[in-house]
Amino acid sequence: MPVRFRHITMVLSVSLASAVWAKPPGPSTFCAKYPTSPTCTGGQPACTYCHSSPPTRNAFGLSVEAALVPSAMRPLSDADFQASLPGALSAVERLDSDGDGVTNLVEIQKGTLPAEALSVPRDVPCGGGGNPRYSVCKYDTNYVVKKLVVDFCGGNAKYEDLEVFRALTPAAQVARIDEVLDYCMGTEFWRGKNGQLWQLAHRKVRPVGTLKGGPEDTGIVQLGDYYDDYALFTYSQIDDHDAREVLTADYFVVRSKTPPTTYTKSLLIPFQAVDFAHRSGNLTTAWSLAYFTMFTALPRNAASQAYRGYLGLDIAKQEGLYAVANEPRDYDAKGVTQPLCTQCHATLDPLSYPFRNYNGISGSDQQVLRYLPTRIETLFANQASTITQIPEQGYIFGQKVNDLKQWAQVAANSDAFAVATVTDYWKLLMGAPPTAEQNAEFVGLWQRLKTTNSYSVKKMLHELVRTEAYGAP
Amino acid sequence: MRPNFVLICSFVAMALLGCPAPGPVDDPGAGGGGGGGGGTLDGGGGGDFAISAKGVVRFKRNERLTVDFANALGLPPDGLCKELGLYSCSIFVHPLALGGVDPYGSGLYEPLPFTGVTSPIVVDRVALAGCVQRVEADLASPGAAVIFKGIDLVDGKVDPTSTAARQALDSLYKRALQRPPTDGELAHLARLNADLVATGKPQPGKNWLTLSCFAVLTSVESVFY
Repeated sequence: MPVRFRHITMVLSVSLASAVWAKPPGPSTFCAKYPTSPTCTGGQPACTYCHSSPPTRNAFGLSVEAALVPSAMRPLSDADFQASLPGALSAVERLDSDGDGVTNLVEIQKGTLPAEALSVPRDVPCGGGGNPRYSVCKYDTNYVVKKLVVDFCGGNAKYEDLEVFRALTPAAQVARIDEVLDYCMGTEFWRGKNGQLWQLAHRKVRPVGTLKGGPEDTGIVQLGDYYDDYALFTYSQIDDHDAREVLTADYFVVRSKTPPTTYTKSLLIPFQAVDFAHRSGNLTTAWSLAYFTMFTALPRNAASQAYRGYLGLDIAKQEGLYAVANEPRDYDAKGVTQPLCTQCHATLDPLSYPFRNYNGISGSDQQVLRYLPTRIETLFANQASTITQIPEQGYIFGQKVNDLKQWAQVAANSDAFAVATVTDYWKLLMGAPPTAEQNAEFVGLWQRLKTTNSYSVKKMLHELVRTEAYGAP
Repeated sequence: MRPNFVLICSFVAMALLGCPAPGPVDDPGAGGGGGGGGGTLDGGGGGDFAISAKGVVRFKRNERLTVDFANALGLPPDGLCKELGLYSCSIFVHPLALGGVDPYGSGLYEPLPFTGVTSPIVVDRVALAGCVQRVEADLASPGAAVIFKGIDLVDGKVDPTSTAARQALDSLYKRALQRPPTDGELAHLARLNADLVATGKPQPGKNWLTLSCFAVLTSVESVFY
């Protein structure tokens, strides 16, 4: 028995030490070596690129580890790790770690996963021959208009309308596609209550019917009216509005209750209590504060949900980790300085600090769902000895921010936001995330969303339906 | 790879070739059936059709299916199919089986990434309910018929080669699939008529109209896009 106990203790010690070996500089060093890899365009590889679940390494991670200065003592310092990783990556380029017949280098270049045997590039050549309906090897306007009407209007076009379309000149067909798209983006199917845009918002808003407040579809316990969140999200996605305002708006949006559904900006609406100076889009709505912050002092859940919902980075899946030095500090005494916790909390805790003054449903009616400058001191001072030291200043993407409004600005201007926005629509319209072969068109879309398209989802969608990925059968 | 995805891939080329109804698949692993095989219904004379390299088709899911079936049949969406005569089959009772979501109740924010074993059963249920309504209404009120106009039932039978029957099928295809039927498809449906007559059961003509409608609405080309 003592032997077994010692064995267990040793295993535990090794695991804890291994946790320290999981290296935050890994993704950034990888991307410095392979900047054009699709994995690095608009983001960084998740920890799962090399780990099955940190610290356990997957097949690719094991290959890299074996080539990573094998003679050196473990654990390597961050500096040693960072210095030797490029060489180790070079050393495993010709290997096929997952045994799928494709070398690691090709997988890195094509954007597939070098540790997943089912993830391989699919460069299937287009077959020859003719086709009576569509040009299956290239962009086909007849195919596009038929699919577009189903996607955006919610049902088939009429046979007669498609025949008229077929008779148009190629240039007229392209113009007609734009007209049809604009028409469909005005339909109830697209922008109405429970329409396609609302369906994109579900994962971000995470509604609960029994907790719904407000006058419409009221729940049993009325915490907040999440239809306001849907309204702002939808408003930010239509009519050339700036998509970033879903995170940065200092206004609310009112939805008309009868078709055709309209969305109108408003500075004041019932049940929303955060003052004008501290509003930050859907991060600070009554529903977000009630449901994601609730009774917590340090709203880690609110921060991680915003990170996941609007930036596509799920910390629980080891995504978007930007460890901040000397973090976490564990102000609220939750034990997050444990070695296995720091992996995520070195990012998550400083990500959460800017939410510290936004109150959920603790305290009196005059305190709930509001910005309270001394929220922690007033409502949570007794929870831990250092809890009042939680700063409002925090970090996102390793960048220091003074408050939540600045947090939201950095988030909304990030590549991650643009990538997440385009990914939402890509998955909605293609049925799956972009493949390695589609990556160039995908990257072009999110990069132009940030630049020439001025964060207009409408403009981005006009470009999306012109891609080969959408328009080649 | 899930079985339903195999099935989808098998019919990709059929949808793109304009051959709507499911049939025998020669080589499912090839992801389609070009070259006159792969389940085409034109008698195998298709020649060297181009096959899509992408092979991507998508299930229409509950809302689009409801709208498309209702529009094709000239029925109101909320009257297309009702369980117990009260509740919409596709929107209220079986939405999840058809790829719908339930964000407010069960927290299902996104459709399931695959179709379930009940999905085709529900598609069949909705299509059949709609087709039964359309055929009965058109036969009961020929003057107001939407699809099956001028159909003569002689001893309960229909001549599938008659002008009226041909026009009805042409209308059905254009409303449901946005194209006219091919000769192969018409021949196939004519064989269906012969099979129904051979069973000796009553009303083979009415059943043929209903099942022709059902075959078109439940085809891959109709259910996927």
